[in-house]
Amino acid sequence: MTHARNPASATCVRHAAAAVSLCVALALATAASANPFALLGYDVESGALANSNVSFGSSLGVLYTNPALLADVGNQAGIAVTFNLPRLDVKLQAKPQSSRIPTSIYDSSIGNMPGLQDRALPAAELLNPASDNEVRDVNAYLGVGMAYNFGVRRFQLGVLAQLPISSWNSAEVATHFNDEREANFSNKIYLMRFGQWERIAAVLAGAAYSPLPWLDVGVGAQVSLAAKVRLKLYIPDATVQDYSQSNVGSEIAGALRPVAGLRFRPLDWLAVGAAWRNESYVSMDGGGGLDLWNYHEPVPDKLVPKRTTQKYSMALDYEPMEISVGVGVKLREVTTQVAVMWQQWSQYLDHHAAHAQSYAEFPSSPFLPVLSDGAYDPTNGGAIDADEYRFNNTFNVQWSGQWRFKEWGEASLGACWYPTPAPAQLGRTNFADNDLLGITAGSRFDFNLLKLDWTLAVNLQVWQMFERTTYKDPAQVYDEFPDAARTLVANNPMSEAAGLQTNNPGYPGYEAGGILVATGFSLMHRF
Amino acid sequence: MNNGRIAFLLAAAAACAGCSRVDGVQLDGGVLADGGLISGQACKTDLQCGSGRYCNAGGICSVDCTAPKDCVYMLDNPASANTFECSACGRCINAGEKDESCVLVSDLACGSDSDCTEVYGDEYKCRGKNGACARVCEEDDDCRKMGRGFHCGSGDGLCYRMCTRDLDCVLHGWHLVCGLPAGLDGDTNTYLEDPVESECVPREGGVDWGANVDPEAPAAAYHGIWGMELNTAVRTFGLPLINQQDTVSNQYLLTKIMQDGNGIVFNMKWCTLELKNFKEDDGPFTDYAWIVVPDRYADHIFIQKLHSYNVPEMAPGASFLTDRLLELRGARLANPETDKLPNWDYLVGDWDQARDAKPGMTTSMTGAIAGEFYNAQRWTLIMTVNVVDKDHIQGLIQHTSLQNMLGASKPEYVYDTTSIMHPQADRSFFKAVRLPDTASCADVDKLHKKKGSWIYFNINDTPSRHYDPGARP
Repeated sequence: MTHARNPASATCVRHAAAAVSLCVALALATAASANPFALLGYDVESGALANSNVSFGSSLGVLYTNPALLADVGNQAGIAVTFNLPRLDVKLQAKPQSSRIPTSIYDSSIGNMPGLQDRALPAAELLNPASDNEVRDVNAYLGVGMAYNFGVRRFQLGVLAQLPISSWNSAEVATHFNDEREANFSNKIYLMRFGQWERIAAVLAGAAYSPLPWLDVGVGAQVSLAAKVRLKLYIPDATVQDYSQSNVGSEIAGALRPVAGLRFRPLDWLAVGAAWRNESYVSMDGGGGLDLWNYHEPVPDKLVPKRTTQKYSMALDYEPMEISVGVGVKLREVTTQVAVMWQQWSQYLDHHAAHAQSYAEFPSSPFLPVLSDGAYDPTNGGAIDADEYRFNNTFNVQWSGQWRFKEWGEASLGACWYPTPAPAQLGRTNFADNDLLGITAGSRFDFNLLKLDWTLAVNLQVWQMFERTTYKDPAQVYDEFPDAARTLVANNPMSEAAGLQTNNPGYPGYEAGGILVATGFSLMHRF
Repeated sequence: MNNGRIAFLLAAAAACAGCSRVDGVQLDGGVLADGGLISGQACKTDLQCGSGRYCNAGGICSVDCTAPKDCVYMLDNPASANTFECSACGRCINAGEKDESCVLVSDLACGSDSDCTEVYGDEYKCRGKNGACARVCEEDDDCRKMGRGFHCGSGDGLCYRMCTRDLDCVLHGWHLVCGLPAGLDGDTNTYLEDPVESECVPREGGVDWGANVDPEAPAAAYHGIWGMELNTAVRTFGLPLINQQDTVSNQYLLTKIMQDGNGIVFNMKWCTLELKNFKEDDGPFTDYAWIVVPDRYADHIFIQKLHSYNVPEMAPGASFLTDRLLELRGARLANPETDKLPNWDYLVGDWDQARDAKPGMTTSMTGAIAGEFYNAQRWTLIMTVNVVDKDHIQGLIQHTSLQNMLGASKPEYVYDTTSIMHPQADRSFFKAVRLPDTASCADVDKLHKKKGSWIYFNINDTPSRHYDPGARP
């Protein structure tokens, strides 16, 4: 007995399968946010076009560049594999020995100076010696995506996920400081924007609708997470610090980065597109309480345990608010478009959820000059203007040209220019970054196999981060062993404290720059 | 065609080179060597830089290290044993080498300024007619580079050994006294609101050996200046976080032993005190917080006297006891033996002995817990003296200590604690070595740090922590 195939049932199954696929892709958003793709493209074709596809585009990467263009993306599903191979360096200049912090800092009044929050370790006792940062790790990602209209005219829905596959870990995140405090950890300087991305999954979803034949609108979202962790700790013996009793409470909540776009086609061959993306970062709030044995508040005649609480906030993978405007021309086999993207880097948050300029001034210290109101002068007597360290908003330019050389094949070229938002890092901070130039190329091939329609796309990108040399201004670098420090024993001045002593790995300067090569291929089934 | 390609590549390279950027201004080597100081102290000789610094090739005072650990960067292999030492002038030197060119090791007599400038440079002048070379100064800090106890003279702008009483001069040797106006009692003067300041001068006739001297008596052999190490080990209870702590107080003294007929008197001048925590089994110990005793504390301990009224001939193996010393610190009581010692909740009798405008005597804690502690103490001492040879003596001691906290820089540091003499009696002992009559506390300081010396002590060196009756120099 055979059953006649029911077309309505087949459509229903296809819709259900598509819905399940979309849900699975969204479920993969266990962690998400910024990553290489804002620069290298969320899919292979966007990468080949230098992310300039704001006015014309036919791949799922438009979910990021302009979700309104989803209207041009037919029903499809597929996978992609992308790689990027950085060869970037942050090289430290030789540190003068007299600027290292000697072990005698332990014998100084710094140890019990009220109001001094940070105390530096001697250079000889740092966890790691200061060293160059050589960025060489190959990053690989597996992309899965789908677009489907559920049979609704002038409507299209899309979802795209990029999953790191360089290692078995689902996410690799390492935060760091961008000033002298990093000496207590890795003692390196990190690239702020390019080449050193956290390996975490990224997910985009969006929908487009064409209310008029010449107007498309789209909305989408990047999925990100907000996590809260609370650690409660009791240390029964303060001298045995590798044993404690602890409990942890945590909350994980999803957060969305809204993306919106529209595309206006006044003429068949002309399109103007615009997109807006809100700022985005993965927020992590942590904190905890610490109890110690036999440790009390100074309350006479009563036992009041002294409890310590700690809090911290992290912001991972910050992406600024962005507005892109593009214009494109499509003349027979040739399409070319250019986009200008404004990025609001002035609101940048580093890993510790603070603005870059907030670290320019010195931390509170009784060794600093005193202001008329009695507060310590964080500008070191006017030597520091924190505003000079505020990140600059940037205008970036992306261009691409596509040539459909056959009905089944297309080649493309692209180029982009991203000026650096980071101002000169002459003081405490070491946000290593410089202008970026990207050159991209790619091809796509349409073919039929097993009675199904397929598209194979490949791309190759070469990015240059131009070399930037930084020489620090000693007056703007925090002196961690102040000249006024005195010996605890004899209250004598300490000759070794004269001048600038700092663990800052960026002192007296550093060079940053290099290239990155990226490539990828994708296979999409069109249906 | 080829030319065109080459031109294109060159143009591209030039364009890229144009995109690289330089921020800031590279500092020159001399400034960098001084830690990035914009205007470093210019120098021609190490001596101009003072203790702890040397004159670098760029003519600026510089420092590479304060301890051997700082020299690890010079090792070819950072994991290998550290073969470097840090010199008195802040250079990393090979073990066994000497580098003291930044400090004056002894006074240089002079008749005129040129006698000093020829030897030490423009930073030194002759102080007084037929005096000694002294450093030019503008403030007291300039003189600290000459050593402890030096101050800047307001009249001549030269460093000198300032005093308000004889005790201040004993720091520089028992042969010096304070040149106060006749009739002015030094101890009273010191605690005046505005004490008269004078200069340490050589005592007429040299060291005061007393009047009851009989060269034929056995006691005469003991007399002399001695560098002394006095270790008092205690167990303290009631401390926050850790409850109980074993601590040894290493006290270094410049002691004058005077003959008094058939007996002797130990005149004890405290030079420095160091407190070291330890574990009873001498096992590995992580010190999270420790007490630092400032020089000011030692400077304000009065000369204490111990007596032995009938001593044997000074021959190896001879042994005798001293009487009992009772001393109050940070408190003044009508009856030091029995009156209640002041405490944080009972401040009657509290005395700012260290003259630092804080109660009692001030010590500092540093490490994981940092702050100041203000204490009053009543302690006693009896020594058993064993003669090793004519230049070395040692012995076990008995001591008690009641120490009360009068306050602290942070209220949560105020705790009631109790101390007992450490049950391991061999941790409380003294050792003394004979020194020249003009020896100073600086000499004692050098000796106790020198491995192999009679009064060497190192908390990480087990033999030096325990009394050894068979020890020989």
